[in-house]
Amino acid sequence: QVKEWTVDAAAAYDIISSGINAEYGGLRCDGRRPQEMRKLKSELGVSEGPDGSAIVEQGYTKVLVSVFGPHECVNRNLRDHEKAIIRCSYNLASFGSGVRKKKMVSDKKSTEVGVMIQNTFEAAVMLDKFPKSQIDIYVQVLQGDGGERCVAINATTLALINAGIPMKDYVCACAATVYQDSVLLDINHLEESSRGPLFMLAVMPRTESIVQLQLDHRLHNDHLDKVVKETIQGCRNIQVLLDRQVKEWTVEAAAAYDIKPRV
Amino acid sequence: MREVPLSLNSKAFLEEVLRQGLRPDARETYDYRNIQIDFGSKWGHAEVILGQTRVLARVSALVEKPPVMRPSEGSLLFFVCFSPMASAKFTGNRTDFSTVVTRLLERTIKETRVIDTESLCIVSGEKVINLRVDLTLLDFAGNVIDASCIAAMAALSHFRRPDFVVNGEEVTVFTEKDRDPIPLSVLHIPITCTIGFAGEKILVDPSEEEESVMDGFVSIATNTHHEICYIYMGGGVTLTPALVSKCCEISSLKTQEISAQITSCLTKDATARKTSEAAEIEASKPTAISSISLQEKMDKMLVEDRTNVCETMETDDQVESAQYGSITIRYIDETETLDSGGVGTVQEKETKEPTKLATISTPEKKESFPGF
Repeated sequence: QVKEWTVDAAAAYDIISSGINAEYGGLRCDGRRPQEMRKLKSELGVSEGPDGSAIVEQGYTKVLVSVFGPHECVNRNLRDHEKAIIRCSYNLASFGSGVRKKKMVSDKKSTEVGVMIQNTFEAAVMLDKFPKSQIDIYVQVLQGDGGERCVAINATTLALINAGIPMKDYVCACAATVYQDSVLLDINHLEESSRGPLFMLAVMPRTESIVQLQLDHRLHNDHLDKVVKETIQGCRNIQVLLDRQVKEWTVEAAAAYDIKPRV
Repeated sequence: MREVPLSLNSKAFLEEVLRQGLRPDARETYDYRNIQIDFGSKWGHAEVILGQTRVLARVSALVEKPPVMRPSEGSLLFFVCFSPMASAKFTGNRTDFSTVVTRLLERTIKETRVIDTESLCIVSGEKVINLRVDLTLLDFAGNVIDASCIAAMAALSHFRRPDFVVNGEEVTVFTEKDRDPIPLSVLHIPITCTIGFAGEKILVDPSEEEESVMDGFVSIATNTHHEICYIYMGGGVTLTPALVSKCCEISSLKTQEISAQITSCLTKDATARKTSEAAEIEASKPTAISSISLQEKMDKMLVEDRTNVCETMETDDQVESAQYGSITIRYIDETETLDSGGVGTVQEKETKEPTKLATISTPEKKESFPGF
């Protein structure tokens, strides 16, 4: 079982390269075209307790996000008199990946992703409307099959909308890699293991402003512009789907009050 | 201790300075502060001073059993400590930011395969060399990320690992005395470049004052082969694709300069070591009187000032006289117990000979202590 999940980098690279080159008609290992995204399913308002919650599923990656706030900032040291602060906690469930995760305590990777999500939404949420308050974001990855950070950001956007927290725009995230001059969007776990460049971008699609940018492994400078452009297109695709979901949910929620919103 | 917030006057002044297109310390937009790289007497000891930010990096190696999933690769671990001596706001506990810096170094250096980890394998599945890089922030004056990365890369480029020989079933790992240690195989040198943003203004290598007023920053690591190794965005700032390309270009340029500086400092250190080795051989030739026991040598290295050793490798005699001028520390003799005289009392004595060394009382001698 261990051997199936942790793929050797060289083997993963072989799988990707054989998939795209010729044998499968230019398709990737899971049958997608290079710039095709995984199927996106989302749902808002899944939990009762939190102020806002959402589940987003992209392919086999499933993330649940709960948002509490804005409420009074409990920790006086962190309180900001001019705007709200965001606290984020990211956790990969122990059953979430192929190998059962033993450590339940927060480790370095989880802290880092939590800080990353916090930084991302500091630019997008209108924090000056809530001075001295705190917004808590809890991210739980239920199933991880590549691109967990991106799906987490997409789910957080929906959860914040569900909680009614004002934002400047949707924040949509997409991950990409480069293989032989072609950009592959929305990579899964197998493609991530190949040690090719892993580029993650979170954008506010209407203004095309980049809110978060992360790159792992090495990417040649010449490929940068192309990757950024294609990934922004991928984020726009996601925004269309998220927007559709938000409008559906609004119609349903308003129907409970006998209101028919204009969408 | 809680961080003292910036006063309204200071904040207004800094914002006005930035609005006029200047920088508080009169640098140009793309200028870095002065970078100084020093190496210590031990392999893998590097100290970087970026402006006034000081980071110390030490690399060490241990021969251990590898994990089951990666039997033929050594490992590289990073530990970053924000020491309270650097700034009043650090308590010495692990904060989110120190975790971020540790992960940043891991992703820049480990995951882009700077060190060829397969060359660290001694016997596959049994013994590998695990490297450990410890970084300590000694002085905080802004831009910890760059200083840490330069220190880590300088230390790894400087480090020598023990040599080993595998003869069928038998493995021999040589110490420094038996065989010269071997440098690591460093495949490329990624250097981070932190660029802060305050409104419209770009601040390359933000100092402490600039960090307190900037909206956010981006750290881009590039190497000399024009490859981008790592990008990290922090804080609440938005970028445009054009700005991203521009920052990558700035990072490439700075990386070329800083890599060149690291290599020139390494060659300078190498020549300094050669001349000092020659001098040591000269000094040790005539008599055997100046032979000092191993433990005394170790003790001296604990006491002596590090920077002295960095700059000029003096012979043992000179170091001795510099240290033991007029004040000596009285050490506990092996035969004495802790009751008499007290532990390590400092006395002002005029002696030129080093006295006997401090030794922690051995477990057998503890029998004389009641209650233990």
